[in-house]
Amino acid sequence: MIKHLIQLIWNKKRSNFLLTTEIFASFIVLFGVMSLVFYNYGNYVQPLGYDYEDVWAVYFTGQDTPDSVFSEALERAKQQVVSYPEIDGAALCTSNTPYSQTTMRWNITYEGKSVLSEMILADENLASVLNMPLEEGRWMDRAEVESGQPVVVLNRQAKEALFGDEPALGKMASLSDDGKFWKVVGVLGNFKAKGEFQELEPVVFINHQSYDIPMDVILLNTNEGADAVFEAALLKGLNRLARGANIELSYLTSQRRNQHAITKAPMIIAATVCGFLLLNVGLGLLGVLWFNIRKRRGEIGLRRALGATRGGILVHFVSEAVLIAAFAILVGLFFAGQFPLLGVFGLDASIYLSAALASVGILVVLVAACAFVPSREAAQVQPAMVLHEE
Amino acid sequence: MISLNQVEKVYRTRTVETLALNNINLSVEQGEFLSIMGPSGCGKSTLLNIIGLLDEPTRGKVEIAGALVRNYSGRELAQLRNEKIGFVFQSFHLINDLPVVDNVELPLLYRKVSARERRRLAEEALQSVGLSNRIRHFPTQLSGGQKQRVAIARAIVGRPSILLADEPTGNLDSVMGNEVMDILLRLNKEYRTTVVMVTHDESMARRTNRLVRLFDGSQVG
Ligand SMILES: Nc1ncnc2c1ncn2[C@@H]1O[C@H](COP(=O)(O)OP(=O)(O)O)[C@@H](O)[C@H]1O
Ligand SMILES: [Mg+2]
Repeated sequence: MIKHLIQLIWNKKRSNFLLTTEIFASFIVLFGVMSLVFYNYGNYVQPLGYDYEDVWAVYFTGQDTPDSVFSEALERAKQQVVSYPEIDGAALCTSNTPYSQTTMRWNITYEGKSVLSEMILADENLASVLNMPLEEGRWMDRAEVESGQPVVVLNRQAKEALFGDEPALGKMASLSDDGKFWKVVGVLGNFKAKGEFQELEPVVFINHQSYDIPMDVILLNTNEGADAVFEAALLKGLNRLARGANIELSYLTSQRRNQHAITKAPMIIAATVCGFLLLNVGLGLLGVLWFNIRKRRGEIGLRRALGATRGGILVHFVSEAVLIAAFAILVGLFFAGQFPLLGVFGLDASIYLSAALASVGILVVLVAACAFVPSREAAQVQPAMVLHEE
Repeated sequence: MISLNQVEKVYRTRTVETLALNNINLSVEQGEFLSIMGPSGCGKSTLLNIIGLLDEPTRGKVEIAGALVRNYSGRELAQLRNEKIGFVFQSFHLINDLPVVDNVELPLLYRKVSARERRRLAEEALQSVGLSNRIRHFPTQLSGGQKQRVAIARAIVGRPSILLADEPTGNLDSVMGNEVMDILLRLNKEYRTTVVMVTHDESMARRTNRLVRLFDGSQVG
C-alpha cells in the first residue's frame, strides 16, 4: 500500500511540487528557529551563578578626573554607603558588571596555554554582594586587596579550560606579558556575566589593586528599606563625594530585562515569520487537499466500490499528505544535517538534533491535522452517487 | 446468487422525494447473464448500486451469494464488494496517474495478496482482455475500448462471482462496444461469472440470457 501511495504521489509530482517546496522551506525556517530556541533554552537552564535581585549598580564616569582622584572618590563612596542601614554590602567592580553591555576580554595563560576570558576586576566584597558560592578555595580577602597581592578567582569554565582535571588552587597564571603572575585562590561555579541566555564562558576575577585599570562601578546589595526616597538621598550623598564625576544608578533587574529583550527579539521575529510560513503551509495544504479530493471523487468512489472502507479512505488521503511532507522533510533534513557536519555557527550537534526532531514533529502533526479534515470529507463520499456521474 | 425481494428505494432531498425503485423482485442464478434496460432515470443504476452493496434499499430484502445484506457492517460490506463483486462503469473510472497494470491491481490492494502475486494476477487478467502489450501504458494513452477492457480486467482480477456493468458500451462505438460485449460473454461462459449489465442497446441485450425492463422504478417485463 505504501508503494502504491508513493507511486501515486510520484506520478503526480508536478502538482505536488509547490506543496513540497513549501513544506521544505518551512522545515528549514522552523529548523533555524528551533535551533535558536534550543540554543537559548540550553543556556537558560544552566545556573546563573549569582544573585541580581536587589542589586543596584552605581556607575561613575568622568574624563577630566585624574585616575587617582577617581579611585579615591570611589573608595570613599563605598565606605560611605555601607554605613546606610538600607545597604547590606557594597563592592567595587569594573564596568563589565552582570547584565551590562560592556565586555573586557583578556587572555589568561598557564604553562603556554591561553584562554580568552571575561576579566572582571573586583575587591574583597564582590562575592558576597553578588552571593557567588565558591566551589573550591576562597575569594580574595581584604589584606590581599589592600596590599595589591596578585590573586585571581576563576569560574568553573575558566578553570576547566586552563587546568582541565588538574587542581587549580595555588597555581600561578599570567594575565600580561611583563612576567607578573597571579595566584589562583578560588574557583566559582558558573558565572554567566551577560545573563541567563549567555553561553557558559570562562570568567576570571582579579584583585583590582593588582591591575592597572581604574574601577568605575559600585555594586550595592540593598534590603527592603531601600525605596525611592532612599535612592534619592543616596544619589545626593554620592554626588557630594564624586569630585566632578558623573553618577548613574541602575538596578540589575532592569538591566536584566533589557538584556533579555535583546536575546528574545530575534527569536520572536523568527518565530513570527515561521508562524506565518506554517500558517501558509497549513492553509495551502487544506486548499490543495480540498481541490484534489473534489477532483478525485470518482477515484474515491471507485476505491470504495473495490473494497476500501471509509476509514481506509481517510487513512489513504492523510497518508498521501504525510508522505509528501516526509519527502520534503527528508530533503530538508539533508540540508539541516550540513550544519553540524560543517560546524556552521559552532553550535552543539545535540542542539541541531533536538531542533530537527522538534521541526519534524511539528510539521508532521501540522500536515496530518490539516490533511485530516479534507480526508474525512473524502471518506464521506458516497460511491453510489459519484460512480454513475458523467 | 442474487435475490431481491420487494425492494424499494426512496431518495429524499429537502424538496422532493423520488421513488427510484418500486417493489423489485429479482432473482439471478449463478452463471446467468442478465441485462437491464429502460429509459434514463428509471432506476437502473440504483438497482445496480443495491446489488453491488454500494447502497441500501429503503425497504425489502437483498441476498447476495446467500447472505442477507442487512446484517453486515460497513467493513464487512467493503470486504464483500472486494471479494464477490466486480464493477464496470460507463465512464471507466481508471486512475490516470497509474499505469494500466497498477489500475488492474487495485482491488487486490484491499486484501492480503503479495506484490508479486498481485502482478501475476493483473497480467493474467489483462491477457484475458487482450491487453498484454499495454500493461505499462497510462490510461490516457488508450482508446475508449481499451480503457473499458482495462476496467473489465480490474473487475475480474479478484475472481468475483458477480460482475456488475453499468452501460459498459455506452461511451464506445459499435466495433469497440462489440469487442467489450464479446469479452463479457466469454467471461460469463468460461468462469460461470454471473453478469448483470445495464444497457441501452437492444442488440447487446439480445445476446444475454435474460432481459429485465424497468420503467419509473418498476419492473415491466
Ligand atoms: N443520490 C440520489 N439522490 C436523489 N435522487 C437520486 C439519487 N440517485 C438517483 N436519484 C434519482 O433516482 C432516479 C433513478 O436514478 P438512476 O438509478 O440513476 O437512473 P438510471 O440509471 O436508470 O438513469 C432518478 O430520478 C434520479 O434522479
Ligand atoms: Mg444510470
